[in-house]
Amino acid sequence: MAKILGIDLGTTNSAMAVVEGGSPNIIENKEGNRTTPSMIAISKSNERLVGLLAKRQSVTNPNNTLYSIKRLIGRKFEDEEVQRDLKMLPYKIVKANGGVKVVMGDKEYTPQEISAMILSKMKADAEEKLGEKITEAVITVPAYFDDAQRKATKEAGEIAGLNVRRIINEPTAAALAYGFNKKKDEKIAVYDLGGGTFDISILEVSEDTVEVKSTNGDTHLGGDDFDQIIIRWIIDEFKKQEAIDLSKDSLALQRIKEAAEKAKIELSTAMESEINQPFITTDANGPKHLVMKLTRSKLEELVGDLVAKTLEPTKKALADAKLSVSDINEVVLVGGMTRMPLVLATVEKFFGKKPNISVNPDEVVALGAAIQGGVLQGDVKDVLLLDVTPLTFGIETMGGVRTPLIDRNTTIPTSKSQVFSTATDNQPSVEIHVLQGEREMAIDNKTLGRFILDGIPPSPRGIPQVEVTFDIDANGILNVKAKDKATNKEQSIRIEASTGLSKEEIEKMKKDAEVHADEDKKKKESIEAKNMADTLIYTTEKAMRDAGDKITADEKKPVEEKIEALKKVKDGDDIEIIKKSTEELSLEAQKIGEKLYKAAQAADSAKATTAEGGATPEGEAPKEEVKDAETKDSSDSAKATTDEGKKE
Amino acid sequence: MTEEKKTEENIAEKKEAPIKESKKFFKKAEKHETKEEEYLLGWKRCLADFENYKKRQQENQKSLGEYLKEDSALQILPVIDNFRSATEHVPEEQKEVPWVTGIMYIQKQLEDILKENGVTEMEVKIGDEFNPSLHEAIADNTKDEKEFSNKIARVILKGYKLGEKVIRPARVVVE
Repeated sequence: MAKILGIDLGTTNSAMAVVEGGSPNIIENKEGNRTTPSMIAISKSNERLVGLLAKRQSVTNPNNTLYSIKRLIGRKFEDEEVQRDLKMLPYKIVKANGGVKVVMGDKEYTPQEISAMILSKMKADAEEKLGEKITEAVITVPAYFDDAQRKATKEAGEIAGLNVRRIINEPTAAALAYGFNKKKDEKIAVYDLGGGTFDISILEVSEDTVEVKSTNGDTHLGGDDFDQIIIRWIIDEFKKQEAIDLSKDSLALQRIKEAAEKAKIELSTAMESEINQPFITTDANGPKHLVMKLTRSKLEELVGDLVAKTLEPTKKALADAKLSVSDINEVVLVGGMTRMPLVLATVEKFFGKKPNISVNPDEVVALGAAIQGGVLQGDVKDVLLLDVTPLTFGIETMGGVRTPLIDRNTTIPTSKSQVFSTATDNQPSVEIHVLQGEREMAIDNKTLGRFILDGIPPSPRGIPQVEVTFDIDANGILNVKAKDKATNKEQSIRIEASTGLSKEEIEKMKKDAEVHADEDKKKKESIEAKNMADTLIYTTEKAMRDAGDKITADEKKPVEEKIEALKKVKDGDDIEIIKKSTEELSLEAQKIGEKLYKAAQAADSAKATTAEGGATPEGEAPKEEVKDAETKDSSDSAKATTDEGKKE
Repeated sequence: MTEEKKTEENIAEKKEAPIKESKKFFKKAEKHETKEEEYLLGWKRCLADFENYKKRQQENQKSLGEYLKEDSALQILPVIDNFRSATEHVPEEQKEVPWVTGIMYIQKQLEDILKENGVTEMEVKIGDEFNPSLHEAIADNTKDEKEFSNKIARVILKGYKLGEKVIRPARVVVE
């Protein structure tokens, strides 16, 4: 059972994806790119070129380089769109059998045959990448495509050797990619601002069907128009600076075009971008450089009208669907241009809600097509849809710190275990305080539950091993278990999925964590430093007690001094001083350790010569090991000790 | 007479009841078996997908090094292009001036870094046959060409390979 290829057959660019392991992935083409230009050409040597190669030679071969075929497929020659394209496109378009044909080389082709060439390449590249044959596909089309256009697109697939299982609408595919097809009675607006066209669609989702209520748009408004405006501005600015008109210089124009696109992209994240093109041209006075700054606010001023232009069709689409803005439950963004902050803000303002852009807007349609393929194949079953936990789960550990067990955005079902220990000597029980949230301190998170595991045999602190397991099943039910590895005694608690947190509450918790991130980090650091100090004091005092008279009073004195010094500062607020004191005590304590170790070695080599001779010193310094293990426990934050004090 | 018939029917029904129940039970069992097989196959497919994905990721990891090199090289190349423009514009009589030669040495440094990382310049000459696998044609509107002979008339930007892969086609004017 081979994979069904999901294909976004775009006007300017195409993309493809398949479902693997339940989720869709974009397949790169042979050139290693995630999108393929929708271009075909016949070279001078009669070689057929597809995609990037066709693009590279387009300038030398305008009559035989075909693009934007999607504007012609399934249309009649008399259609307004065709008549418009006749004037704009450099290749020959002729009337044929009521439809159209294009001329490439000395032959005529139907648009289906041309699109089939693109689909063929995608099919071949996918087969190579995946290592398996592809015979079936799901291809997307604009929601406004009529029967003839859909039929022609299906034909194109068949000519390419693909059994087209479904032709689905682009906005529907986008909604699928977000899983919105699972919603009940919701209205979704899909705002698609691509390279050359703008499409707005209003969808209604109910009972697993997606219905297109209305569509509108502008077939000649897209990212390219935005680029043109920036290019115009650059040329005008340069004219002001140098009195030279670069629009006449095609070589400079090429550089300006690339610089404009680069600046546009940069300004989606930065507030200003520098356009830096040295030696852009030369005149009688020598070389000239194109260096200017474009700020985001200037860019927004320049393209503001274009963005505003998208709102008219949007209003019309809503009116046609007999809906108001407040009826829309979700907004989905498609197309690279929607990354521009001005577009995002405009859309958010218009609809009064945050649009969905978490799925790559250049790829979302192909991914949705792949999902449709997966559904047809049974790869994507309702019963197999997996969730993620929106917030982190953890427990409270020594000092009131939150130790995470399961990170947020972990796919469930899942299970995670970690071993913890006790904070004080002879601690008879541990309290497991289950938390949910993103803050570093336990008290700032939500308590989901608590329970106590008792019957821990008396032992020095840090010795008992309590394995805590968090298990979330497919229904989101959390089971937390604590088991004493010595006695095998265990205790557990079950927490229902309904933590009662709404989407807004979850967002707020995440935001809070971000806002408090720095101070939380400091608090946690402070507590970890104190914990470490405590543990070091404990283990050092114990080691010295156990060593007895193996260490002289003189040797003990510097260590005792450091212990006293650390005791004085450890409850204060200065982390740096605590760390420093801890370090100093550590160094002194190590000297004792070294001495004991050497002494043990000497004792053993004496023993070894008398005994079997195979005895190794490593195992013979139990005091040293105990010390190391405990130091590791305290400094290794993964093995934080539980705070017993809370249970009382 | 009807009483007897009723009792007969009752007896017949009672005899049939366990058979009916068994049939229902077996039908159910069959359904469950089919579902079971479907789930097992689905699970196996999922595991296989995961294994294949892992393998692809491992391949990608290996090529990640190359990809990063390519990415870095592509960012450095425009800088080298501009260095070349700069040195090309130096008036002949200034070419030996120390600060000019200094800049040329800096250019050489950048070029050496690329070479050391496996990035090589492609040989492109005027008169070569245009090949879209290696070259990218750009417009030159100082001429009014409607017919192209497919020969390279000017080399605007050099092309580069990383190993065998063309990472940047040479930008040329075709006449």
